[in-house]
Amino acid sequence: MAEPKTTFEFALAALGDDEGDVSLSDFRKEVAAVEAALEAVDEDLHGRPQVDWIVKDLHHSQPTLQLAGYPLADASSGDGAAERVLATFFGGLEGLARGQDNGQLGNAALTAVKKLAEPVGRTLKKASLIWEESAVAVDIEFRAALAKVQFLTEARPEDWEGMLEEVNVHVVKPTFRLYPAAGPRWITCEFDRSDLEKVRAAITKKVFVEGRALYRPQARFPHRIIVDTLNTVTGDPDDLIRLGGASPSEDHLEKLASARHDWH
Amino acid sequence: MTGTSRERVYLDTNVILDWVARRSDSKGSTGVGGLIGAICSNGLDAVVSDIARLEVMECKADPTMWRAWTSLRARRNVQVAGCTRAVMDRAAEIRNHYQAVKDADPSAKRAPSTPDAIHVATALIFDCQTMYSFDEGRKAKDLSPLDMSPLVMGKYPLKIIRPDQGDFAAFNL
Repeated sequence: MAEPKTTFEFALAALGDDEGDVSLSDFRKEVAAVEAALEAVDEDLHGRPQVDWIVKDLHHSQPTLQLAGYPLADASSGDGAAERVLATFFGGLEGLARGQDNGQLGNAALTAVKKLAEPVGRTLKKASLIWEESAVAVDIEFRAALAKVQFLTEARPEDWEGMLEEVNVHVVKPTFRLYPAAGPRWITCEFDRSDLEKVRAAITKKVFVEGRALYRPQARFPHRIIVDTLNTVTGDPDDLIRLGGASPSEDHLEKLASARHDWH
Repeated sequence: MTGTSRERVYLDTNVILDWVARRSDSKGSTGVGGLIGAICSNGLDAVVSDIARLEVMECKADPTMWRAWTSLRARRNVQVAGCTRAVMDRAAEIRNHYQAVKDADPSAKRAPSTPDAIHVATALIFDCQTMYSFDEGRKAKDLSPLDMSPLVMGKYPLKIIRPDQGDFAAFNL
């Protein structure tokens, strides 16, 4: 494994007399939040994760992790993926520390940053993140700034399809998760309670939804859809394999090429 | 956060058309037959653009073609991808890049057609590793998706090959 060009450091400080007495629960949650944020940024930038984060060093007096990013085995984004992830992550964090949403972080990364800040002021004094010249303290001031941020979203009328799962009716606006075969891992879909029976009947089926798709700035996929209409995708998925050569023609490729040529 | 992802491929419209229209290549683990077989056995995930619906029905408007399209779309491992803003922005970037190449070098091929640019852009935005396409029937002076492989615009990795250049034995589960 080649030496990475860059590493970053992540340290935790507990509230109370001894900053080193971080609870196992906080340590686990904070590491999970940083991991989720890095993976989300990686996916936002590259379509799918390209970087494997390796623990290069551990300090115990004050819980500190030093992490380095290496390309995953199937990475396709070329050199510098870890640096791009860290530059975006720290850029977004620095904006949030000033109470500003500069749009660099997608919805999943923002959710992870909010989780990172959750224990701060309760059981944790701060989480410090340092990369090259950038240093961000997720402390009580950061939490206060984060609470004031006006998060940017754009709404676009779109349709998406995927598997309907995980219906949640224990909220003001009921939701389900839409799992597309490609693209975002899932999209949270908000629907009208009057459609609940229709949604229940479609659980674990492939559906087609139309509505207002909410995007973070620069996101390639929406993180939420306010559903107007929902329909189950019809058709026999096993039919396709039987249709090879079922309707022969000699000029189909030429027709398509000609149609595309007309677009020039 | 480690491990490898499932192989995800992009199907150009001409591959879908060819599956239904070409009797000679409907069996085996290579070519279009092998590719469709790998998708139908859930060995591969596939992405197709929403504009493929328009294109398949424009070029082969019969009930069999429509059955093939609805069957493809009904599969859980197939994503029909819409022409979203991200796709259109990338398609414009592709067209502009290759037009600039043509402007600088009049002997270069013409920029890809808008549908070709949309197909390649969709494959990139949905992070497909391989795009399968044909270039039969194209004029030699026009840039086809196959000409853009393996680095679209010299910076986006995407292997674009003909189905007969693929070997799908490992994916036909």
